[in-house]
Amino acid sequence: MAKSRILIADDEEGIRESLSLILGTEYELSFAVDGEEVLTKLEHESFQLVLLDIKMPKLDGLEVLKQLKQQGLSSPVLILTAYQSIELAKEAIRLGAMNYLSKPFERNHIMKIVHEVLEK
Amino acid sequence: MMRITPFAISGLFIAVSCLGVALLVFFHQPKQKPLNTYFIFFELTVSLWGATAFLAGIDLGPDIALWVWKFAHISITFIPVFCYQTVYSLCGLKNQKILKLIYIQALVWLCILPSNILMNGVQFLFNSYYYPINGPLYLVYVVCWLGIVVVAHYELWRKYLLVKGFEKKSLALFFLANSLAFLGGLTNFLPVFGLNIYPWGNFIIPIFPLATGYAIYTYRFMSIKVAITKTGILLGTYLVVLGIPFAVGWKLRPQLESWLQNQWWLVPLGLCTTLATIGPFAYAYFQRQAENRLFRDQQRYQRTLQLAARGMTQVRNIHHLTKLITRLVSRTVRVTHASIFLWDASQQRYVLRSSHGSKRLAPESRYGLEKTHPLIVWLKEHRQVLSEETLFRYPNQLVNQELSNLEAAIVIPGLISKRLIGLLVLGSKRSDAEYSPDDFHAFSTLAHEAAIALENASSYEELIRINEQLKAASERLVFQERLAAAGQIATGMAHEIKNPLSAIKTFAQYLPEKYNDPIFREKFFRIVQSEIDRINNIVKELSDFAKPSPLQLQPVRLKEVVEDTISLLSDQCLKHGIEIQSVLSGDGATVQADPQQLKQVVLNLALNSLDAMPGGGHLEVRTELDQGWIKLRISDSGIGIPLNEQHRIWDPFFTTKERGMGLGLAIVRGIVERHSGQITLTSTSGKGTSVEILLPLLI
Repeated sequence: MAKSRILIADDEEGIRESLSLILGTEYELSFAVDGEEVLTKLEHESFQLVLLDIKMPKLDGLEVLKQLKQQGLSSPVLILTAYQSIELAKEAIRLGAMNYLSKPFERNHIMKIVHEVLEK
Repeated sequence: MMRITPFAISGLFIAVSCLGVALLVFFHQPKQKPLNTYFIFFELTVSLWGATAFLAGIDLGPDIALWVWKFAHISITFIPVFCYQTVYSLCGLKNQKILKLIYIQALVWLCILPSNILMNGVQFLFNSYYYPINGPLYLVYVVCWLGIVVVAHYELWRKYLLVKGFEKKSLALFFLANSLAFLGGLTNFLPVFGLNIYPWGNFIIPIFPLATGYAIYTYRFMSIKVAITKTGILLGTYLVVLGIPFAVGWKLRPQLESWLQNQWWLVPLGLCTTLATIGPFAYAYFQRQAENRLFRDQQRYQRTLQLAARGMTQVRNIHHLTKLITRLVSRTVRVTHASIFLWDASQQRYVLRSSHGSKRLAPESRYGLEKTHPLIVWLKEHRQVLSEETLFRYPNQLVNQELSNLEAAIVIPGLISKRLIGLLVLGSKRSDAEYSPDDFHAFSTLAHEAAIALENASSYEELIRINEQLKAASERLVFQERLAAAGQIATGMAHEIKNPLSAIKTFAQYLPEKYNDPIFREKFFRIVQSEIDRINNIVKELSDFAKPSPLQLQPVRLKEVVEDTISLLSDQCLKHGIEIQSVLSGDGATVQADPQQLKQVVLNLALNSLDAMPGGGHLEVRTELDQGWIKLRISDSGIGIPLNEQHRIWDPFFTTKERGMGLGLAIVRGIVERHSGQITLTSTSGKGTSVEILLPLLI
């Protein structure tokens, strides 16, 4: 059975590497360092899940969600946020994100959430 | 032949003075009351007697004289009638039977008058004019006349014993003037009964209208002593002005005729003119002298009070001010007590604030007067000093009661325009002397000045209170702002630290199981090291921002600082295709500054500009003098800041950059402000940003 493809979008190398450590063995990972790269990749490839950071250069996570909505692209999205504000997460869910993950994250928690989303 | 006699002169005086008073009362009384009407009738009857006495006294021959005397007896008959009627009204008498009887007897005499029963012809007396001869009933007539006068005075006396205060004084004056006038008038009857004493008493009669007239005119029956002195001066003056020329004309006429023949009258006329010219001055002089004597003590404290009133506005503490006023008045005027009530907005009533004197009002009673209290209503309505005397004019039983409750002789309203700020309540003088109109004037001035001073003091206290509230609010606001800033910093810092923490945490979690994986170890060291450095850097920047290093101030040439800093950036600019243009004027201009911190300002701003121009652009650094300031402007042609984000650019942790914590501009602003400078930023999205700093020149 082919591995599910996950796009990890975060401008921080540390985060990308961390998520790679957590999810790299079970899933096929692809990375993007800013919002524009996310959109480009989603245009050309298909992913079962996108882990999307809110604060990113060029286009932030919320902007990416808006554009995805406008373009009718419907990959499931999990938001990554270091902000405490629940408002941003709510806004992200309103724009189509399935759930959100607060930084610093727990290895098991991430695994669980990602499994749940992919099983749906 | 017509001859002017003293009797005729006295008649003239009576006629004029009584008519004058009647007119005065008629036009001057603010409220028409029955008492005033009866008094006017009384005065007019006496005036009519004066007019007929004048006619009788000029010797118009026996026939005319008889009819003049008969006519005169109409007024003589009604003088005691209207006197009684006035007393009846004044004393509030109820027995109408006596009143009716008095009127009936007058009408009976009126019917008898044309016959000879009362007067049986006239006789030539005193070698000057005709006088009536008594008829069979004349004695009865005089007895009736006198009886009514005695009854009237008896009623006055009874009333006098009952009342007190101002009313007592006014009744005493009325009684005295009236009885004197009647005694004078009584002398007119003596020659009728063969007692040929010249009726000089007629000259006393004008005392009555003059005394009552004076009192009515001024509404101030201060004291009998004052009234009589003042009336006496007036009477004396006009007796001299008219009497001396008359006496000269009368006694020295033969000598004057032998000297000046037909023009003899020129001498008395000239004398009369001269004396009439001097008269008013003499009158004013004697009045002044009398007042100086009578009111010496009052004038002393009135001056003190006026001086005090002027100084009062300097005092700004209400408690001290009220205490000062009551002490001052109580001591200088020597009153039993002086008390001040002030409007208290919180209690919605006038509250006793200070009381001084032997009979001072007890402060613990916290005596208060409601807005609707009769005393307050009276003061607001009449806007004048409340005394027994003014209360007599505008009677109010409740106010009268309140005066006795307060043991007050007078109450002075402290008014500013229409507002009653407070009231000054004074007990009676310890000397038992009366309050004079000048006192009222002095106290009104004092109360007015005190009201202004109290208003000022109240405004001042209010201002202090508001200021304190403002200060407290401002402190609260500063505290809240600090809290908000702390919250903002905490949020920003949490966000900045969570990213590196996430990485460190994940790598730490995997360390035990992947320790032997060389790729993992390589990543672990690189990433964990880098993230720890990042956290360290965040903490350092934050502590720099939160607690900046102390300023090491020294005279600094801004141009040199700018040149040094820009030179550090030249390589970087070249690499990114950024053209630097420096326009640095003000060579010798120095500012008092910390050169290291100024360098940081220039560096932070220039680096911001560089970050805003990733694809190259134009950076302009300009210094120039602007009056007492030196201006530094750093402009770029970068991406600019969107308008909706410009208001947040000074907030710590706010950034529009892809990299950076958002503390740079906050640090710059902190440094500029610590150098007493100003900083402004203008930016247009897509066109560039310009930051302008003004620093004070060192003179």
